[in-house]
Amino acid sequence: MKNNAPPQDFSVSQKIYGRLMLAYPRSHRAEYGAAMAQLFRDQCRDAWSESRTWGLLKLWLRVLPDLVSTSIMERLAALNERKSMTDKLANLFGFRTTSAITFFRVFLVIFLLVFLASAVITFILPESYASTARIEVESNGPVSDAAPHVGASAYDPYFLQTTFEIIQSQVVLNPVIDKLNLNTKWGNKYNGGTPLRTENTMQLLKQRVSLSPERNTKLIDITVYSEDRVEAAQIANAITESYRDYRDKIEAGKLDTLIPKPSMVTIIDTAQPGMRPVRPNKTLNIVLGMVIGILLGLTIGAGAAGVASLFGRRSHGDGPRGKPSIPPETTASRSINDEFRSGSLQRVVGILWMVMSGILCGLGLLALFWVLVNGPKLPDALFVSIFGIFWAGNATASFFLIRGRSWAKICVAVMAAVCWTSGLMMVWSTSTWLPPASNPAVRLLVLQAWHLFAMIFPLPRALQWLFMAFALFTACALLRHHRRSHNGASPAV
Amino acid sequence: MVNAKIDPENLLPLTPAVFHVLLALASGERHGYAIMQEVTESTEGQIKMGPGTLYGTVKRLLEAQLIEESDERPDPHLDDERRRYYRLTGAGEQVVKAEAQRYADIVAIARGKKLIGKSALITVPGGC
Repeated sequence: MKNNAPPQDFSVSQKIYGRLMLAYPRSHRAEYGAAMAQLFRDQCRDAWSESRTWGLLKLWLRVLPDLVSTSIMERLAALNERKSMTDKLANLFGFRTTSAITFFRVFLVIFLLVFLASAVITFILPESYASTARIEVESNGPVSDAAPHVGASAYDPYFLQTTFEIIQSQVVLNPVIDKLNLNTKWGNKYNGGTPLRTENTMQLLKQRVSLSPERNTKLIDITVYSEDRVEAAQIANAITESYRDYRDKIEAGKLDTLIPKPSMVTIIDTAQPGMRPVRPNKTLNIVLGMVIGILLGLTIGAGAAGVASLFGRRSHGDGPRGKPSIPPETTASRSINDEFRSGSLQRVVGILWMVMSGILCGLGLLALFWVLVNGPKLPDALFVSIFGIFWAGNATASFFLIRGRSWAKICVAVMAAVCWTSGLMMVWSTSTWLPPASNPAVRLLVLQAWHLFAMIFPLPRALQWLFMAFALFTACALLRHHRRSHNGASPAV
Repeated sequence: MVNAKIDPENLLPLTPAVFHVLLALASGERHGYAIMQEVTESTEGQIKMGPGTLYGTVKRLLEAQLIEESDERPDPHLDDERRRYYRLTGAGEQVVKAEAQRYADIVAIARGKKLIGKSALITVPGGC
């Protein structure tokens, strides 16, 4: 008789099978887990008495495919018992409460919409190449009797801005259009073979030119975007030459022409055709789509969960936070909390939140679309300002919908105030402050993420202090940036 | 206990695993391990059910009310109390008979075409 005492690998097999049974749905395990484990134990015993370790190995070879296929079948069957996809996913992730399911459902829909939209737009957009030429420009300086000590190289805050305007003016761009015959070329490309008028070509050309200064130098980068990599380089080089000719011509017309002078413009780098398309930046666009999708999903999902929770409780006769509903009072001295509990303010806030979220969502999608098409630059600060204001409105409405401890409420109130302040400051400084490359805009995004986090989860005390410190820091950073931009210290491009 | 709502014809053909489990229970109440042994013996070792297949099938048969769990034990002193016994319901019996008849009809057709002899063993096709 081969039947000896069960060896080590006998019990190890049972332990492993016990772990692998986690592949089955919880309900199936609860119902049949013990019976399956017992059956496997019996099979192990038979296999061991038949041919010991080899028998166990053969058993595993039979049981593993069985386990994989049947666990998948049971998982699918468990999913089919649920009502909808979001219910199924919510169940998979362990969400149990109505508000959590609502949050998850709304979040998923918004996230997928934004993410898929960004992905589709990214792959539909035509590719374009960038070529950059670099020039060094000498200022012709405000030399005057009133300020004889100011040399030609003195800092002139208006010089760069003036140079940019000249480069994008007719005196520089018209020769480029003529030299490269862009009226005919772009007419063939965009106007069905009919040559474009110079004004139209000029418009198109301006849209494709981007100028940026090298900080603390006299260098300017002239970047041209085009679907044709060679054309982009040709245009960039033509612009640099045209601007150099213009400056040389101006200098030649001055009274002191007899004094030999070097050229006022030096071409440091000529533009070369780009090797890879720079627009659309697929990775950036998809990451942006994900981030904005998550932020919008969190915002709208959290608010929807709050509304669902409040309205759901009201319909069951309970007020906020599970307290019994307070009957409507007839006196005129009702507090906001009483209003809120009685439902009238709750409805107004709910509607406000929905309107705000709708506008926010629309603006967010519009901003995303703009970024995807034009790169990470928003049209101007006004757009961000409007976005910030609606954001603030949303945050304020969220404050009334929040559940949780008083500290969390205070944090969200601070957030709402910061959002409002920053939004108003952006509007105030619209004319000079351009947010694309500035950190405060990014900080604002992070701030909103914190705000949402605080709204959804009860935060430990230390994190709440960190949260408030971050809010104050952001407010200070925005204020500093605003003051700098009004003083003209930061370049406006 | 016949379930009048179940029409056996609607459930045919059965999957091999379901048919084998019903066949195993046709001769009396059995627990999971006994069902598995019965299937292995009746198919001469060609079909060896794993725990997942066996209890997945049992679950579906219980839901379809073709089998039911039995509270009675053949001999409680000789058996593990934790084992769960199953038996055919009236509907289950009808279904397994209808499926067996279906196989018999197929065998008769095959014999008519002289594909198998009269003494040929009938082997249930399929595996688990």
